[in-house]
Amino acid sequence: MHEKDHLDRMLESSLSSYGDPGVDSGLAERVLARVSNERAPHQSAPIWRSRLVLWAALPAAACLLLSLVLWKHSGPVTHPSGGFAESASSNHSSKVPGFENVRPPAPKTVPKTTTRILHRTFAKVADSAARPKQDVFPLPQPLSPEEQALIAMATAPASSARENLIASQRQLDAPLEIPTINIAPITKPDPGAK
Amino acid sequence: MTIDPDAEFTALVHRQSRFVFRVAYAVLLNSHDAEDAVQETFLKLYRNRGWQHVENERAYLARVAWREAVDLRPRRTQAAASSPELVELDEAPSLQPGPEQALLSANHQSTIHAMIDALPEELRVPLALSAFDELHSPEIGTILGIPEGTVRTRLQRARQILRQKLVSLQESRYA
Repeated sequence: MHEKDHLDRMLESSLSSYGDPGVDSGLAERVLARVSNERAPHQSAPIWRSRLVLWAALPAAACLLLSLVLWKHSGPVTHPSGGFAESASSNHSSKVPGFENVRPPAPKTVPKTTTRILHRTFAKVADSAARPKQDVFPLPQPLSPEEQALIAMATAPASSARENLIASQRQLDAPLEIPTINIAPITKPDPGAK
Repeated sequence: MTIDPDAEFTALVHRQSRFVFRVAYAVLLNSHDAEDAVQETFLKLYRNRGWQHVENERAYLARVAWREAVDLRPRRTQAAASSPELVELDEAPSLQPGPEQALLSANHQSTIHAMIDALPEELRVPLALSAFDELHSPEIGTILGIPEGTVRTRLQRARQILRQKLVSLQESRYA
């Protein structure tokens, strides 16, 4: 029994120190240093993200500013041929006063992508401006020739027109008179004559 | 009054790093690998704030450290197999000559440590965990994912083997 107790004490003593790195091993400091190294990149992430957002927003802001400047100070410039930009500008800018002369810059001087962006911007602005609003609709515009002709026809003295209309209706109501058809009988041609 | 999570984590590392090291060492049998496992354990804890709201801190840490060490072991085994120099430098105590020979040149404690290292892992890890403070059979069973009865059986078996070896060593010494 005494032997067993002695062995047990030896075992317990050895087990209590088994795998122990020691108090002054500096293990905790090394672990904390590793954790702080891991933590450093995460802390700088928001700054990095904000910079990325800034760099991404910068070209968009520049394009918007350029389009606004061109919209305010642009003169009549020839359209580039074909494509979405032309159709968009022809559909929208001709209907809205103030946008008739708004044209994109010449394709030789402005890059194609910039022109496309500008046309899209113009189309959007024209589209939003073309929408009627309660306080300004209908827009004050001079009458087109077709509208003027319609008004003239509607407001002209109707006496002659009415008489013509009644006469034409009477003609339609009158019974049809078909004149007799006189057709000469076919005579046998002379065999000697040509 | 709120507690700074970083300060709380720092206190946890100072309080439990040695314990976590011992758990990892019981699996890996190598100080360098055990320290890597400790660092990975605390890094994971810090990332997911896993230490907060834990009832049994030691049992939780022991389980995390044990799993980390078990995950780390195959990689280290493959690395050692691919580089023979590492095997010589980092050889596990279980590969050494028997603990009986170690007894001739070392004190009792290191001899018993070598005997523990030589035990099979399924016996060694429960024995090492049982030697730590405040870890009993139910908690060890929870950590290792085995029934409490199995833990007790393995502890008895491990102690029996160690005692037999110690008796035989003492007999050979006094013979």
